[in-house]
Amino acid sequence: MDALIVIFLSGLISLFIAFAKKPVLVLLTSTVGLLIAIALFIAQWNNPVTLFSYEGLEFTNTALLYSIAASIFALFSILIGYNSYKKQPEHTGEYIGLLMFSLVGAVCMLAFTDMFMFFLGLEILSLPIYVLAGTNKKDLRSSEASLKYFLMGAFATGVLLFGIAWTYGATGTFKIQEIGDFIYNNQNTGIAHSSILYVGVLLIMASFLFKVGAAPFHFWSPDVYEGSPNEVTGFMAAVVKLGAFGAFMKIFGIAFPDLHAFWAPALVIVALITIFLGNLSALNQIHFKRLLAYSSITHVGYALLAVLTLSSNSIENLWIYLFGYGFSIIALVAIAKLLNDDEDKISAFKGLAKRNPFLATVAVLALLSLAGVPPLIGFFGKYLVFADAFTQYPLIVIIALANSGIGIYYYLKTVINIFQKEEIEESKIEVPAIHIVVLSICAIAILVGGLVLSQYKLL
Amino acid sequence: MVLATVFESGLSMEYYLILSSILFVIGVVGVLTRKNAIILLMCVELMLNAVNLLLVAFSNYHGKADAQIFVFFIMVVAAAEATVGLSILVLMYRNARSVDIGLFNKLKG
Amino acid sequence: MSTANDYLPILIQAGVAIGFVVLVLVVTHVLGPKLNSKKKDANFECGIESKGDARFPVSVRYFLTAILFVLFDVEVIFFYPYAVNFSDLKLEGLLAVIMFVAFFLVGFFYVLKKGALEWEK
Repeated sequence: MDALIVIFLSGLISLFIAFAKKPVLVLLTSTVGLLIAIALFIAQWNNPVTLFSYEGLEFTNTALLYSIAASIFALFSILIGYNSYKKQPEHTGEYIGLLMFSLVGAVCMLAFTDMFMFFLGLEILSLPIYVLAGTNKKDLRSSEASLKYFLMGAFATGVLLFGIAWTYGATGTFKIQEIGDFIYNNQNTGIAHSSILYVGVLLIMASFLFKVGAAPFHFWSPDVYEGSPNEVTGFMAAVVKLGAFGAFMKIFGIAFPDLHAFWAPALVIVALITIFLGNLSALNQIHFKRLLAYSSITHVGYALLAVLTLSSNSIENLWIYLFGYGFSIIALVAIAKLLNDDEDKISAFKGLAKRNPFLATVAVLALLSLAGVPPLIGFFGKYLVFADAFTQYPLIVIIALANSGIGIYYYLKTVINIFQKEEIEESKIEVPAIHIVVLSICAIAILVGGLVLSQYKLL
Repeated sequence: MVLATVFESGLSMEYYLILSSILFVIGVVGVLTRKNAIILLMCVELMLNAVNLLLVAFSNYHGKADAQIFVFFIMVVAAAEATVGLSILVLMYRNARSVDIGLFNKLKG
Repeated sequence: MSTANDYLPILIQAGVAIGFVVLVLVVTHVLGPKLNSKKKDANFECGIESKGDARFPVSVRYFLTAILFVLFDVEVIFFYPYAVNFSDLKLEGLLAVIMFVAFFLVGFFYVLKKGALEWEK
C-alpha cells in the first residue's frame, strides 16, 4: 500500500502548497505524486512485499491493474481541468486535493479484503466527488447536480450498509473470502439459502447498480453528468466506474459466486433494461454531455454482462473494456470543454474539422471507439466481454449486439456534425499544451491499445 | 412485572430485526416521498442508524465485537456525510433561495 | 444474560434527567419575579406591517464553526474503544492513535490557515 500512501500524502501536500498561490506548484506536486504512485503500482506487480502493509488491503495483480488505470485517469482529469482550476488560485489546492483523495478511495475499493475497507473506500471515493460536482459555485445547474448526486449517493450508502448488515447476520463475518467459504461449505444446507442472506445480497447489488448508474437506478446520472464541470464528469465516468465495477466484480466473484443462480436472473433483467433505456434515450439528445451520460448507461449495461459471466477471463475483459471507455470519455469531455459552448449542444461540434483538425481527429477516434468500430480499443473491449458471455447467455449477447448497432447511429450523428460546414464563421480554437499531450496519449491509446492489450494475457 | 421478565430472558433476535427493518423502511419512505432536502438528509441518517442497531444486534448474536467497530465507522462517516450534505445545501440555498427539491428542475432533457 | 438489576443504573439516570428538567422548570417559575398589569397581559398588536423576512441571513461563519465542530466532535468516538483497550494495545496502539491525532491536527491546521475560524476579516 506504499502507492496509496504516496497518493494520499501528495494530495495533502497539494492542499497546503496551494497557500503559496502558485497553481503550477500544486499541479507539479500532484502529477509527480501520481507518477510515483503508478511506478510503485507497477513495481508491485507479482511482488507482494512492500514497505507498509495492512491486512484489510491486498494488492493482487487484479487490484494493481485496476488501480493503475484509475491513477492514469485521475492524472488526466487533473491535467485537463488545470486551466479552469488556475483561474481561482485560492481554490486550486482543493480541486486537485479532492481529486487525489477520491482516487485514494477508488484504490481502497479495488484492493479491499473486508467490508470495512470496502465501505470506507466507497465513502472516501464518493464524498469528494459530491463536493467537486458543485465547484461551479455561481452556476445553479452545478449545485443542483451536486445535491442530486449527494442525496442519491447517501441513499445508496444506506442501502449498501443495510445489505452488509444482513450478510453479516447470516454469515457472521465481514471478510469477503470467509463469506465465500461459508456459503461454499453450507451450500447444500439451508443456511446458505436463508432469506436473511438473500436480502443482504439483493441490497448490496441494488446499491452497486445505483453507484454505476444501471437502469432502474440511473435517473440521477444524466443530470449529474450535465451539471458537473467537464473534468469532474470525466473523472466520474472513468475512475468511479472503474472503482465501482472492480468492487462489484470482487464481491460477487469472491463472496457470492455460489449464489450465482439466485442473483444472476435479477442482473440479467437489469442489464437488458439498462442497455435499451440508455440507447433509446440517447437517440434524440441535443446536449453533448447528456448524450455521453446516456451512452455511459448503455456501456454500464454491456459491462454488467462481464459481471454476469464471472469466468476466469471476465475481470481482465472488463478491465480492457473500462480502460478503453475511460480514454474515450476523458478525450471527449476535454474537447467539449475547449469548444467553450455554454449550452453544451452537439451542434457546437459543427465545423470542428476546419477549426482544429487535431481536435477533430481525436474526437472522431474517441466516438468511433465508443461505438465499437475495429480496430479501436472500444471494439476489443466489447468483443472480449461479448464473446465471453456468449457461451452462457447467447440470447442476451445477440440483443446487446443489436443495440450496439443502434448506438452507432448517435455516435455517427456527432461525427457527421464534426465534418459539417458551420453556419457562422468562427475563429480557430486554441489548444493549451497540456491538452495536446493528454489528447495525444488518449488518441494513441485508443488506436493501438486494443491491438496491444489483446495480445497478452495479463492476469 | 412483564418488563422485568422480558429483560431477564433477554430480548430475542427477531425484535431487533423487526425494529431496525421498520426504522429503515421509514427512512426509505421518507427519502422517496418528502420534498424538503433537509428532511431527506434526516431520513438518510435514520436509515444509517437502523443499520447501526441491526449490526449491534447481530454482533451480540454472533458473540463478536467486529460489528460494533463497524458501527463506529458508520457513525463517523455519517457525520462526515452530514457535513458535506449540509454544506451543499447551503450552496444550493444561496443560488436558489430554497431547499425544496421539487424546484430543482434546471437539468432536464 | 442480563437481569433487571443491570438496568437499574439506566433507570436512575433517566430519573435524574427528568427530575432535573422538571425541577428547573418549577424553580424558575416560583423564583422568577412576576409583575402583572393590564397593559402587559393584553394581546400584542400593532398596525405597522412587518418588514423583511423573519429568516434573515445569519453570518455563514456561525454555520462554518458549527459544521467544523460536528466533524471534529464525532471523531472522538474512536478514543472510546482505544481507552478501553489501552493497556492491551501497548506501544503499537499508542503509535496508531498518535498518527490518528496527527492527521487530525493537519486537518485542523488546514482549517486555521484557510481562515475558517477568523471572525473578523
